[in-house]
Amino acid sequence: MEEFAVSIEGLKKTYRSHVALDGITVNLNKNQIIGLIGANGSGKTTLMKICTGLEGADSGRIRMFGEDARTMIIGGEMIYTMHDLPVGRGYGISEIIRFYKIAYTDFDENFCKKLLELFEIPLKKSCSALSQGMKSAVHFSCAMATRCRLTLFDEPFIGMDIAKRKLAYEVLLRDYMEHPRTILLSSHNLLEIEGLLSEMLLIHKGKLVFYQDMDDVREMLFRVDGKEEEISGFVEKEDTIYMEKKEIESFAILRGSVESDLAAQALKRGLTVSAVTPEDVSVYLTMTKERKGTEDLWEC
Amino acid sequence: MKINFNDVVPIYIQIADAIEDDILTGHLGAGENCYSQIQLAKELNINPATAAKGIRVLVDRGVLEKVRGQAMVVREDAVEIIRQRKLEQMLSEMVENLVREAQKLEISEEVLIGKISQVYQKK
Repeated sequence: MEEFAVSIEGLKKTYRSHVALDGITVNLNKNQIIGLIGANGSGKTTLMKICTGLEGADSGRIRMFGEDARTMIIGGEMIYTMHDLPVGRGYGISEIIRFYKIAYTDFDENFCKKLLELFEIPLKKSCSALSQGMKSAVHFSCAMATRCRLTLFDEPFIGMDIAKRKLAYEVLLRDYMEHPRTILLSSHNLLEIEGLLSEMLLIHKGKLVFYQDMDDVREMLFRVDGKEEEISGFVEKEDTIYMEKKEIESFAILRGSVESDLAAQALKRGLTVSAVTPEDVSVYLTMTKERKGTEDLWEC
Repeated sequence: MKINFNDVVPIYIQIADAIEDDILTGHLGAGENCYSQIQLAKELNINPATAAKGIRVLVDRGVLEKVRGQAMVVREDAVEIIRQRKLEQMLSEMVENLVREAQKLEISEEVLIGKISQVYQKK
């Protein structure tokens, strides 16, 4: 049995002068819900598209369950959806369902229709008449119903209102428990989906930042708040990720958990120690050191 | 049972603590089966791997034990174990806070201990 769902080795992709993927190497575990996180333009979509064969890589290789990626695509064992998927323009929803039935042997039509009913989407409608949120719900429902052992979701919840998003999160988690499979999911709303995830893959400017267990991400960084001169004793340490100096109270982001010795030292000095959420971890670990503040926007 | 994603306490610890509360209040009795990983994941909308970690914490704390193959069962002395651990945890937290506040006020160790003895003697 192959150990990993997806093995990526030295993957590179350049569009004209823009480097989209800059040598990514990572092995994704099987039967996990993995969050693919990164800022706009970090390479998330390119990575997924190369996985699905929609784009070719310049160099490097991808294997899925130990096989060549193309075998997975032809075998209908992999599904990829994105929010502006061209499939469906001018088609009715029932026609799209028919397409999935032909393409995916394990497609559960009954489950798909139940999902669409749950999302209040009338089957008679044409796809072009749907709002972005409804389109997302159609693609999400169809993709879930394929039960593909590798499911790639690129921003699947975009445009959905909060009630629909919550429904979608519940559906994803419950169906994953009924039919365990590998789900790679990109989203800019990490705060909302972090409970669903077992692992997180963070990329920045086409490079891998980390691939970690979600609970380890929650203990990756901590924050200390206090007077600048009190924090300064700590900021020289190489564990410092970021420091923001302010007139009244400053703060620093340090490597380690709130339970670490360093955090205990900070507490002893009378500084306030708090945890850094995975969402903020993704921000602080991808920030350019010389990042400009917004203050000079209002200067003449 | 309620999970707070913004809490400093890791989610799996929050799950473990919540189950302990149910044991203390008697909702989960000694010898009974603990909630399963799947039950917890469904109810709290969290990844089953996280739920499993919460259960593992309780095994490590000696509150649950694995019997009859798969089921996780509340140990006979679970309530006593939970109380003992909470007491120790609470006590050290209280003392740490006390010392921290005392240090802010530049009260020396001797003075602080003297104060504590005084309070004891009054009773």
